[in-house]
Amino acid sequence: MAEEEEVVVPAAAAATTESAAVEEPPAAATTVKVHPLVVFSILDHFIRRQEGQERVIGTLLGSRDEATVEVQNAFAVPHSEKEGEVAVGQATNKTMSGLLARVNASEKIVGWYATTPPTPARPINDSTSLIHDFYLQECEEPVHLVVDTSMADGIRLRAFAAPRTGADASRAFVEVSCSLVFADFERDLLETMTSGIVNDPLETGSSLSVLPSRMNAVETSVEHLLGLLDDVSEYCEDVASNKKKVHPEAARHIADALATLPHLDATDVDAAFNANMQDIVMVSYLASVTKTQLAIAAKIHATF
Amino acid sequence: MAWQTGTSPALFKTRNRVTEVHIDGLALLKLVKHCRDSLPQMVAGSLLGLDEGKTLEITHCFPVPAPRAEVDEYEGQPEGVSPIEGGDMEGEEYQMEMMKMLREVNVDNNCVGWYKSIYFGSFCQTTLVETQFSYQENLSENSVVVLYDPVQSLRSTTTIKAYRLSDEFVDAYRAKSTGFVPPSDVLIELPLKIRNPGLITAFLYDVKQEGLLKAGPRYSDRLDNPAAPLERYLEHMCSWVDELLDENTKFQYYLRSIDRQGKDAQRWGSKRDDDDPTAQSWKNTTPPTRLDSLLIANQINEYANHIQLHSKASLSKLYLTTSLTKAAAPAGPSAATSSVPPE
Repeated sequence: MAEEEEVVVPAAAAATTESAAVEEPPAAATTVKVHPLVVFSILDHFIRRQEGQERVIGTLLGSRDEATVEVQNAFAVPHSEKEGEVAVGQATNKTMSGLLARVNASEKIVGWYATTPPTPARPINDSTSLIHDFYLQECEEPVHLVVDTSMADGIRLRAFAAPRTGADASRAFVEVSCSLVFADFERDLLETMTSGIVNDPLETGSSLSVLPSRMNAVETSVEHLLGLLDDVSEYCEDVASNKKKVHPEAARHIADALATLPHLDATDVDAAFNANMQDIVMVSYLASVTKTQLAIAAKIHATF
Repeated sequence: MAWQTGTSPALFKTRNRVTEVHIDGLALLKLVKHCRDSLPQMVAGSLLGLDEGKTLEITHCFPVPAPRAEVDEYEGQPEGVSPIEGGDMEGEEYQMEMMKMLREVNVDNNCVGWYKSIYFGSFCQTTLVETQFSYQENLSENSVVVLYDPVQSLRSTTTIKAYRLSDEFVDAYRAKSTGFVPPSDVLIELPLKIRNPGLITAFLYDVKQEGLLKAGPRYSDRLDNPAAPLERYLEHMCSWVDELLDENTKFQYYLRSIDRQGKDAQRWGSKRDDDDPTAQSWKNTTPPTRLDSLLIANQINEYANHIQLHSKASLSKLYLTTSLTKAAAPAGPSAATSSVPPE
């Protein structure tokens, strides 16, 4: 990746000496981070494509930090491809980004996405560069995200950038590293979606999941904890029987975790337990009284 | 039903009431993202989808921006009137424009309700009911409002709910009657499920397979001590009880003024014979709206439920930790020594 950048810099420098443009163009992206929301959005768009349409495209929104692009949002753009001719809904693109900017101004256009064309071996084709040219006007150094919807090998994401390569400032597509990143809420929701499935997705063609209730949450976190404990004890046994080497950091964490358990004798535990218990029972009693009051009020109101 | 002027085509399918709401994973993610990103401001947006038989399917949603420079602080509850509720023109235009754009890419172009972020479980507000009422009257009887609580979701499980107004209440509200509707029957909660199309489900399985969903240990209580939500609930409940009292005082004041006027009328009537009816204009007494107190009662009830749920969870946690510490206490030293050498 570093080599790529070294190639880019002299080319860009050459370009700037020619044209009087003073500001230095930003380096092309080398890392693309994609939020699952974006993938959802792209797949949804693909499902809703026109009949006969082979692929869909859209605009990626997000933020850029030097050579890392984080894609946080996406919207669909209508387009059509016919024998080498490409039409992109420029007006849609403009209005839509304007509308979305009013809600979240921090998300800027960072590139565009496409689903795989019929020949999955070639994610880049002639029209790709045409569309990329269009996005070059919209933002600096756009990235191109390709989502494999052919299901040949699961749903794969690939990202490309097109840095200037030669002295003539021509561009060529280069594959850059691409990974999924999760915001906390995304991880939670995705976990809910996968673990709460109540039907058979293969039968109905779509999955249906329920939200966990409050009580389930305690259960799942205890299960999670038990799983972690199993992992830790397995690791400890492996280390004890010299199957694995001690990882100082892991050992440190285990020691810290063990140290958080306070040394209390049984009477102290009992006292704390009782005090806490009384509090909770008290509050829950108060809540019940309030509910009863409200119920009585409702009854009285209803009868008179 | 004289008000049925035929303006809303949705009224044709009136008897087909939905009993369940399915929200697409995409819509849910978008909704939650919008609410999260705009914290601490409370925001709102539109829901798109279809009602099919007994289920309402929400397949898409989009945010509606807040009207510029209008932040309404209500005793520490950041609950500015959202653009949808404010009935503001700008927001409406925005929604039309957005729907036009989405139609071009084959998104369901049918508004089925709206969503709103709420602060710590308090949602029973007059504005919410009014907006929901106008949705159910003008759009479709099956419109719903989806409420997402970003603050609560931050610390425990995702809190998201779908509500609509009950028929009983809609009838009473339409007739502008001050009749009584049981507080718990004003807003009806509909069960909410998450739906994902096959392709997205495949992606989900992929992600899970790769173990990307397994986070490191998360300490949901790292922000403050575990007692905090309970305290917060109680605080909120107290303030709502105060408001209920206020409403009561208003009502009593109204009763007293009616009483006084009745006496005045009697005195006046006995002084003169009833030949001059226009001599005195009575002070206008309008009965206070009952809606507020109904909503407040419902809100208090909601908090009571929250508290009970929370205490149940706390109790089980408490029993768990106690039995753990007790079990660990006698074996404590030996267990510690046995686990030290491997390190």
